[in-house]
Amino acid sequence: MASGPEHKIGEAASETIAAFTSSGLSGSGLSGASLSGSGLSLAEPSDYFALMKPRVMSLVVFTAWVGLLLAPSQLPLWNALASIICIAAGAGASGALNMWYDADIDAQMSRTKKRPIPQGKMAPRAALGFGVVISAASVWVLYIASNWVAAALLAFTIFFYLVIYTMWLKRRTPQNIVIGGAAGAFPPMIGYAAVTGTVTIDSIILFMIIFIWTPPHFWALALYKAGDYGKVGIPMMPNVVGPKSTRNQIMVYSVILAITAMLPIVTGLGGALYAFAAVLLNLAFVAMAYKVWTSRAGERDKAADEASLYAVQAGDRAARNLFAFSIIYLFAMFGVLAAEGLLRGISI
Amino acid sequence: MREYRDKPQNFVEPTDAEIRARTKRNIAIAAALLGFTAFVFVTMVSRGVIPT
Repeated sequence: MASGPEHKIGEAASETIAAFTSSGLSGSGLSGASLSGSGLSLAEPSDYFALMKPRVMSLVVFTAWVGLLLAPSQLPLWNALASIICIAAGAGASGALNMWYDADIDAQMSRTKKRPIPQGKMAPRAALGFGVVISAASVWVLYIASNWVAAALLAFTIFFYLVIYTMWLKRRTPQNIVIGGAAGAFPPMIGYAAVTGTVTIDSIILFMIIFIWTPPHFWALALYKAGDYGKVGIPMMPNVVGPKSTRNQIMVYSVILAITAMLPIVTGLGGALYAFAAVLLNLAFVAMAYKVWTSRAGERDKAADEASLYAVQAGDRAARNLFAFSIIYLFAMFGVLAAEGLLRGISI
Repeated sequence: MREYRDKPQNFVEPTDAEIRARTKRNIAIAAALLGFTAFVFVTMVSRGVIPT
């Protein structure tokens, strides 16, 4: 029955809050998780893995690897591998810390209510402890595997995602995604820094591509999931300024993204293959953003409440398509850069 | 000398599902710690922190 888990969550809330505040860790949002009378949780290793947001981690691993590959020099194979594992673990740890802090709103949103804490499989403080330990370990080992610049950037990324985005911006401003998106843009810069020990114009360009890509990517999702965010009081752009203004901003950011995506050609980071692919991919991206711009996506009385990220009402199809394509776009852009980097390495 | 123990009060027997979940967590923690130790060791050797 659909109401079963929610009922359980409601019953358990006060007990959890009491346990949590008594541990001196008050201040987090939390709702449903609770332990039974024995004090043991039902959380399995797979639930801890789920805390690390594996889908986000896969993107982080990929972009960090591309950053590492495009750096002008090379790391020994083991150190390169260790660096990527550390960056992925750091990203996963910040995901766990995000789930600790956002447990209260996660329980209310269709997209997130099946996460381990809202389901009552583990207490929020278990996620907090897990996140802190993995954060510290990943930063320290990255320092050993590469250098202090990469380690410092990883530490800053975790801080940025947890404190700047999750704790500060997410619940306060519709610009949350714009600024908070920086956290997701750091991995290629960290990968690059792991090799060079510096931040260069090329690594900043890699950062900028993901940074500018984030708002249209996330707002496309928010257009057809606005009700979900509105329900828990998160000021996503469509809820605050309305769907029309959001569609306008998606269009503007898509054009800026297309311009930013051409910068690797200017600096020599990308070659002919990249130029060809980037033009096609960005034309497609702008075309799909244009479809969203001219659509009525996000304009309805009641938002869709499906569990899937891709299930939408007919009017929001353009936004759904842009959201889905934006993921392919990023993988393809970085994939082409990686392919060129590999080809360059072979030709040397 | 006999060991002194208070009789447990308010003890709640864990369920089978909780015991199973704890066993899995224990195995995962042990494996992760072993893996982490080996990972750090190999990384240090690779960086020359530990001379070979």
